[in-house]
Amino acid sequence: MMSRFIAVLSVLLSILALGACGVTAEPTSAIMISDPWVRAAVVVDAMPEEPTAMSMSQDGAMADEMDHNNAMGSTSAAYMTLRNTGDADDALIGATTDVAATVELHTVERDGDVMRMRPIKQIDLPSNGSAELKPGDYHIMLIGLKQDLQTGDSVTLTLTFQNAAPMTISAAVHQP
Amino acid sequence: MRIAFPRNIALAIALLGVGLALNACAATEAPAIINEEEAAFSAGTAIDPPRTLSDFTLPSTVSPTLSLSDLRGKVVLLYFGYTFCPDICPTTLAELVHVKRMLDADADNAAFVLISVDPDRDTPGVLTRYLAAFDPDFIGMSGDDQTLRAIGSDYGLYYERRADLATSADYLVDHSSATYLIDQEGQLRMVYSYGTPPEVIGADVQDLLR
Repeated sequence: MMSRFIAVLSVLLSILALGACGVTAEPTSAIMISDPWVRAAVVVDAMPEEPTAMSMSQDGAMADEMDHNNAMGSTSAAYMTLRNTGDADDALIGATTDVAATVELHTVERDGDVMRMRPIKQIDLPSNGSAELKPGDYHIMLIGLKQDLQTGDSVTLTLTFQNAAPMTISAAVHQP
Repeated sequence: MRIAFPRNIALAIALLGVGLALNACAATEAPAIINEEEAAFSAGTAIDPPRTLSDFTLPSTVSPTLSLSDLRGKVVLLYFGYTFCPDICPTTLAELVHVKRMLDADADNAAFVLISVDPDRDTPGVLTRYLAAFDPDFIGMSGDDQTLRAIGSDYGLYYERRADLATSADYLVDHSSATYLIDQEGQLRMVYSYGTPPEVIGADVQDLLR
């Protein structure tokens, strides 16, 4: 009897201890996500439907007609810490959001002072392990922003995993 | 059949559970470990004696063309990057915003310049909109290959457009990520690696303005 009580107590205390870190999780998921945020960014490329009068604008904008070729030109990135509390290995394999046309997983390879951003297929989440998505490292790249992302906004992201069920989270927008 | 755990083992398991949970908690809150490379570069590299830089002229956000020599009399912080870059470039520019804030009124005597290594995307119009989100006083220049090649050796500049990567973007650009400190006479004084604290850069700018 006592042992069962202590076992239950253990689980309860563990949950309390985890709760204390401000980690949020869907009840059924072994994946826990903390401190999600998205970098503030503005749409810099002219939209294709924008009148071509743009190209006739005054000084400094002589090459603006080229903007129309670059509808994919505005980007941002999402960052967070992902933790796999389960006993099986998992991986983040993709994400979607309404604010960008395309979402990709990227990392940055540092070669002396040269930075090489590289698309990757997945970000591994080993059992009882974690992955930190942060500037200069793993990030979720948002390509083709459909709207400006201003500090104070929030962005909804749906993350997909190799094993765990998809998770939808809200990430605050701010500058680093 | 039920196996009864001796009480002390059950208690040990209970404590272990709590310990693990707390540990996992601590792991996420531990300060980021600065790797050796970052630590070594955190103060920047002094160029001694200061190196005279070749002048160059490029399309810019402040006038149809701008030359480095037009900025003579100001302390210049120069960075090579591109607006499509979601991570390294905006991180550096956000840090330069901190540097400018540190300078307060002295910021009028400093210029913050982004030279794009991606002129096809980064027209002066695009650069104006992009930089306004950081600081409208930041200057953008569209670097063309010919000019970048001519001045590259002054900065140890490397950049390469990569259209061969598995991305939906047409191409990404591998590029040098340093920030360069140029004095009022147009001489290169310091090179800062990515991740150099803004306080370090700001203090060096203040020294030159003193």
